[in-house]
Amino acid sequence: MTPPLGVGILGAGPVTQAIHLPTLARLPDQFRVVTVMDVDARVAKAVAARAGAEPAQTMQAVLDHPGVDVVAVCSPHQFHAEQVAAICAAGKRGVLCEKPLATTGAEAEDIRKAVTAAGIPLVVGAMHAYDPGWLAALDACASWIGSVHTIRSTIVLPFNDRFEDWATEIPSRPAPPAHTGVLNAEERAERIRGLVLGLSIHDLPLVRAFAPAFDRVDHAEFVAPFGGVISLTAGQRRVELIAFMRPGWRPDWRLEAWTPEASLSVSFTPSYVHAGSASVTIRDRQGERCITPTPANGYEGEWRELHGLISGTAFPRYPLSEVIADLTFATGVAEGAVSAVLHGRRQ
Amino acid sequence: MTSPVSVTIAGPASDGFTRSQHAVWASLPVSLTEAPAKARLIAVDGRSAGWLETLENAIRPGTAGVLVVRPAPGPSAHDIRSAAAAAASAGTIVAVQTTWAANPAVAPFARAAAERLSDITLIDSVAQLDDTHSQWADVLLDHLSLLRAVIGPLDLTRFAAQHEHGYTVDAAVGTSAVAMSAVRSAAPPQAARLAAHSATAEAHLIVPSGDTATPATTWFVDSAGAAVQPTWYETASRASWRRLRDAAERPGESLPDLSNLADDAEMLTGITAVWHGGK
Repeated sequence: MTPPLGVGILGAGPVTQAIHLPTLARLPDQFRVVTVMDVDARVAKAVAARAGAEPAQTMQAVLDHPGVDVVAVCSPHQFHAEQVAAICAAGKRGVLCEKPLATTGAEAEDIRKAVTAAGIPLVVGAMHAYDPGWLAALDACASWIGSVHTIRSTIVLPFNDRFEDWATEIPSRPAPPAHTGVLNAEERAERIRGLVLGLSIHDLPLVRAFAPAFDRVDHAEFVAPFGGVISLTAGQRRVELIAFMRPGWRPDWRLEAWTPEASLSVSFTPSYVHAGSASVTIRDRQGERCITPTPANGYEGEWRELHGLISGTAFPRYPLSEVIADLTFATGVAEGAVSAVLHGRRQ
Repeated sequence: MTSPVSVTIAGPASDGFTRSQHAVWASLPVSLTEAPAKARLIAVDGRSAGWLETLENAIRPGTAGVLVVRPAPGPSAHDIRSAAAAAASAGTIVAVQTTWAANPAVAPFARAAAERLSDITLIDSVAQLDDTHSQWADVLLDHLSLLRAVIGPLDLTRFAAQHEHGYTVDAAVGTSAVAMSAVRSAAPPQAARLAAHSATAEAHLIVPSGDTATPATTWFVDSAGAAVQPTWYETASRASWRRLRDAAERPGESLPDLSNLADDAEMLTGITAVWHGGK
């Protein structure tokens, strides 16, 4: 039996604690966490101890660790591109990088070159793209996916801490941003960028399944405390991104798509909680069909994909070119939304 | 016990319209009775050509009320306001029945939403219609009427686009962002849905598009949980007739419907003048 792959993790925040450690704990035959790095030594020690792993305070310590086969990049967005390139250069066998893979087109190109040169698999932590419910939906609507004319992503969620605390026990988390009162245009623009790259990005690879090419952002507006409305055109389809995070309890995370004859509605569980896959409803003139959720979720899907690629038992579901195209699409939406907030016309 | 009020249809009307009005009157036998020669309440088919002229002809002393059913876009806001002024002078009450706003669940929902939600920051509404609806301006007029009925008239349109299969209108009501869409699909449900969000609560409404008594679904969400509102198994048409009759029976009563329609028509004209895309 092949021994489990050793995992090093960069960043020990809530994503590592509530998502990846619980997920890897369900995959003991495939992975074993060997080291967890965080710039905060106390956090690194506490989180690593949960997995029986060694703490580290630098990326280099993780890369130098002889037991590390694959590295999970769970650090702040701005470090992703540099860290993925370093992992590739260090000769590791694979990378799982949290979304967004990078924040600019230039970074995306750097990553493409590094991953291509290293020849190792790269999986982006876009859990919905690996969600069994979503994948079943894609199969079910394969015959009419090209007829989709309108796509809507609705993400209405309580703030993350509600769900983090139900997935693990968080010893510490970053302080929430201070309330800043009325925002000026530049502040709203930066928040809409964060909204796209931090929240809407979960579903943008799914949007691309219907509308592969980004054309333009037509309108974008930030909605306090953290939300927005973004209307865009992609592949000549209408795309609406509605997002709203606030206190409260009810999550509503849906991706919908319509053709003249049919509709698709995919309802996802909130992030962090390990509550199984999405549920799917497909409707047409004859009625509706539901695809029931499975116990496995997209987080497991990401890691299983990485293991399958490294062990040679799977073909990449999302080749590097598609991963880069997803990122290019997302950064295009982010830049377009920023521009629309700063310069949007009013009719 | 009150005696039934006499009703009839004025002007051109489709067979379907005539049948549907008779069906409603038959369901209100104590309140309404058909009497073409001396009708005090008059129905106008808003889908017929020249419906505003039919309305203007029906407005006169002796006509207690007029119900305009699903008025099509076309008449200018100015002309509609002139009709409203004429109705006020003649003492004729005019009610307007639009596809979704006239559903009997909408007004109670709007009152409850106003009580339960303060500081609405986001309103999201999607209308889904089958391929029998080809003119998006028609749909948008109904959509504007629904938004007005629930949260008030749009103050500002920030972006509007239409294409063969629907439209997008991003707008504002006060400080609230509004995202409106219509999509064409034969898939069920044929309905308009609306969600209003504040930082601590939500209000949801789904209104069927059909002519049956299929009820709207309305519910509210707050920290205590979610509460579904009582259902109304009554057609929008029957509710509109009851509303008009009740108003006509109250001396000095008036309805804002025609003025609201004029304002919505003006908003519609502004939006369709700038929206991009196909037909």
